[in-house]
Amino acid sequence: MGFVSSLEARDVSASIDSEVLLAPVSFTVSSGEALAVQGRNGSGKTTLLRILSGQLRPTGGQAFIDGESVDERRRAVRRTISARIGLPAFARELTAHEHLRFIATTWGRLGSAATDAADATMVALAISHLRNRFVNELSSGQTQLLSLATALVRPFDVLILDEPEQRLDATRRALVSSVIRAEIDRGATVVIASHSADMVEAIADRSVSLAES
Amino acid sequence: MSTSTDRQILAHVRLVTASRAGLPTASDAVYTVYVAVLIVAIVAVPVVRSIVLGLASPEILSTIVAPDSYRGVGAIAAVLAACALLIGRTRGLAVPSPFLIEFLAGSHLARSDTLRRPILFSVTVLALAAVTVSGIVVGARFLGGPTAAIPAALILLGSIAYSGVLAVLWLMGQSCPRPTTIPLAIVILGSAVAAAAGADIVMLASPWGWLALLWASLDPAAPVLWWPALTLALSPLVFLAAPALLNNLRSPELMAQARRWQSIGTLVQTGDIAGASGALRTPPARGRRYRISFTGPLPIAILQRDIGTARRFPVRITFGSLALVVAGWLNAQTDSAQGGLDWVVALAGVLLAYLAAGVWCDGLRNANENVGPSSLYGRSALTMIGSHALLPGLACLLLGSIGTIAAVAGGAAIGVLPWWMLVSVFIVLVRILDCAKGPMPIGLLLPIVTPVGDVSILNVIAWQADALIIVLATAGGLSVLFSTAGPEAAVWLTAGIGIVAALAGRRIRALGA
Repeated sequence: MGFVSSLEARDVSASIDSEVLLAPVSFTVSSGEALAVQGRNGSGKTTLLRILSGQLRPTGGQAFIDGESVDERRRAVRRTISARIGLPAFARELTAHEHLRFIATTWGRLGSAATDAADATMVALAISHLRNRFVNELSSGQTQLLSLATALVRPFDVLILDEPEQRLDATRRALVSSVIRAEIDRGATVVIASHSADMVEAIADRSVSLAES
Repeated sequence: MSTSTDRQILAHVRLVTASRAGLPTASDAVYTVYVAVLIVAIVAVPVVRSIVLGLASPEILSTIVAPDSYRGVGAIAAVLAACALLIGRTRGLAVPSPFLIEFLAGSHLARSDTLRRPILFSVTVLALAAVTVSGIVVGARFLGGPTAAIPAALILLGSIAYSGVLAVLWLMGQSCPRPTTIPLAIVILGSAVAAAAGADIVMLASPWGWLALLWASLDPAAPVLWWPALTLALSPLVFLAAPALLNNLRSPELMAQARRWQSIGTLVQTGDIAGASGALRTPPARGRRYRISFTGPLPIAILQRDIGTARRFPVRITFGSLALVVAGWLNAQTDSAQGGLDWVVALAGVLLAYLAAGVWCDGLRNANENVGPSSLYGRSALTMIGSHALLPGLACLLLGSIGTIAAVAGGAAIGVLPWWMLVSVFIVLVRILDCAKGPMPIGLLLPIVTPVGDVSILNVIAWQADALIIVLATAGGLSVLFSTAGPEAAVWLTAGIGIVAALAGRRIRALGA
């Protein structure tokens, strides 16, 4: 996998009419580096992550991957960025393992490679025992772990996560931190929004604090 | 563009879904086919047959076979094209499940590939609907008198081709921004008006015009026109634009539509029609700076509040207002319609008025939602609901009267104006009755075993649709009676107003207790 060299926000801002959702912010994150986005409720953390993943057009400034504008309509952008912002739309008729196998398949890991990817991700997040459960049979913390697994089971160069600590106990937060740190060490670019001091400490190389909008 | 690798991935994706746990069995599929065959045989065939026979009745057939009826066909086809464009942002052509949008359309595969199956499904449904409707009307023409066979076949084929044009316009409406699609829809609506007025240029230069020209050649005395059939047959070439339109779709918008329609589907399955229609009402995105004053006595303050918030939904309010004007005009036409048409016109008029009044009822709904022992507001439920009913009442009276006055100017009797006032009051009271309904009594879900199975669904449907049934049966039926016995109809409707007002008052008091 060829990792991108940088994810850049250049004076990125968002507003509706004159209501400011995100005050202008600029930074660059390089390959093998993790940035924590911090700020109070309503400061625009999720809005910024949506912009960085190409799901939302900023009303000011622009976000770039290796100098190219970020727009999720481009296949190359979807291939590069794995974003988990909120819980995904699970399929009630698929088990946890089938979810991961399905996702791995859509990213070109065919046959046993998809099964292997699903197995490895479940082992990494210590949820192998949940492989045959349907999503409605998971606790809120287990659902969060499966949600994170959906972002990790596919190939990516950039990982964007919104509050990965949600609904997780201290042990699971440490586990998730180590999994994300391993991805960074592998060369991935990571941006997380988090209110968890221990996760930010374990994952991020630096952080950016958003002004309250 | 899809590569062999992409195709291989998609084939494997289908294998994964086909091997999932809890997959429907062969007997499930057989049962689905069995139910489908039963529904077609017991419901669809008799309904289609009765519609064909109804259209073949002399009163309606005279309209269908009239020499200038092709203009109406062109206008209707153009309106459908404009609607296809406008509806795209509310319910697009391609709306798979949220799961497939998240993980399949969200993958690196081209959306023209991952969304192909939902598109093909929608296009097939559209083509079937088009050929069914054209088949019904052409069938009625065949029953009613001499009709040229070759043009009839061309109409059926042409309607399938035209459904392809509608599909691409629908996809455009979903994929392109509103500043592009709304002006285009207005141009198409303008061409509909021109087609109705007989403008030849529209007939020669548009797919809806070609369809109309094929209709004109159904008359055995008219020459068979081959060129409109040929141009219409070529028009699905616009599908060449479909991949670009699909790849232009944004996943957040796709996901928003998919989630909304999934919840609407769930609400409809559980019989919650009010909830389903609520899910269709999009939240406001403009007008946050409008200043709403709450001055004067409470009813006036609430009227100002409701007018102020209505301004935040300009498109909805514009269409609702136009619909009320048309409803008033239609209601006044009942008098001059003959045979079965008077029923069609009367029922269409009151139905349109009831639906259009709904766009002015946001305040009314909010007041009802907050009725209860721990009410949000410091005034009685009756006061709040009565005050919020002022705006829909005024809208029905004033806007509907514009249509009614236009009809009077066109020759309708002046009596239709006071009649519309009564109809307006009745419709708003039924709106209040409907809003104050509360949750469905659980007893209605108890099975009712009959030789043909559980018919408890009829109870649920009747409960859900009671307001519509009351409006159609009372205001619609009495509007027909009004054309022959005005004073009696007025007395009956006044009595109806009293009964509905009493029922609504009882429901509100029960909710507030």
